[in-house]
Amino acid sequence: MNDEFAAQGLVVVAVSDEDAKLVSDYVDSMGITLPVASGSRASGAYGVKGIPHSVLIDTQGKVAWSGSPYELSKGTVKEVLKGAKKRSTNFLAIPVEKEPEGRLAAPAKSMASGNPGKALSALRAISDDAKSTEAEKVGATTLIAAIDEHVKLLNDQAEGFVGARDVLKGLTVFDALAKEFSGPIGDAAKKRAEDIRKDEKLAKEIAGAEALARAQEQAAKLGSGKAKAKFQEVVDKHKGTRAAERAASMLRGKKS
Amino acid sequence: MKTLLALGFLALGSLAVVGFKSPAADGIQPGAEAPPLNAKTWFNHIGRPLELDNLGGNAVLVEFWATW
Repeated sequence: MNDEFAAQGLVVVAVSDEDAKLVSDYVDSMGITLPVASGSRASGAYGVKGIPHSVLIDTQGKVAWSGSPYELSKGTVKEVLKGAKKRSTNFLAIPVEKEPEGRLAAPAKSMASGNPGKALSALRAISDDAKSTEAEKVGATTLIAAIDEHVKLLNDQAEGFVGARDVLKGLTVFDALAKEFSGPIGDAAKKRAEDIRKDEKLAKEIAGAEALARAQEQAAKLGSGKAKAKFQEVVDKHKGTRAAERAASMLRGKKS
Repeated sequence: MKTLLALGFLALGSLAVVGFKSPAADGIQPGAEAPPLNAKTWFNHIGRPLELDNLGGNAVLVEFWATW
């Protein structure tokens, strides 16, 4: 049901109060792909007594339904999806709370649709333009600050991924920043990606991760016996990498 | 009096057990403002921590669960 509704714009998240390591291992071993939160105490505020428990939230941020996942009907979900926005999973997208008018409207839209590089150029032009009104300059400065904040967040996260040996994931972010932004932001990201790829140890992690991704793709098509063999291959051929650890974890998680 | 009261509660209690169960019986009531998720860490996600205030305009299904 979730896949069908995800395509229609339903955002599905799984929330646990457990600690990050426990959740991380579980997510890895079960191959879960949806966004999962750890260390959340929200279940208290939501009055959750037993789990699993589902809460459907409407486009106005109000609870539309709360109860057992097995009792949530498609009809209820369809109702809530009427007029719902589709959330961009593009991590470059920067939602802008109040859609500004006039000259700021287009850059704000670019930000929200995942083109912050384009937005940044336009906003700098507005900010530097002597003919811009005070309001326009202030508005542009605010939006530029939001872009800078988001770029910093992405850079920090990417470094975190690389540090945790999720190198491919980190590179995805740096490559995207390099492609999207010209100037110092893009250049810095490009250099970082190059340095990572040149690093011997990190290159091994990348190779392992790519092999694991291929194994996962194939596993989806093969029967469980052949799939297990693919993961075992990753464990054997990419020893010492995080990918090998994750493959081992998946082997433990998958019961034949 | 006490016995009557106790019997009364027992009766109500057994109603709940037997299955007087509406979707709203367990947990927050429909119509209420959805509380923030306040997660420490997000997996399978890049970017700002997912929070209801940056999901405005989206319909969200929150699945509360655990690894056990």
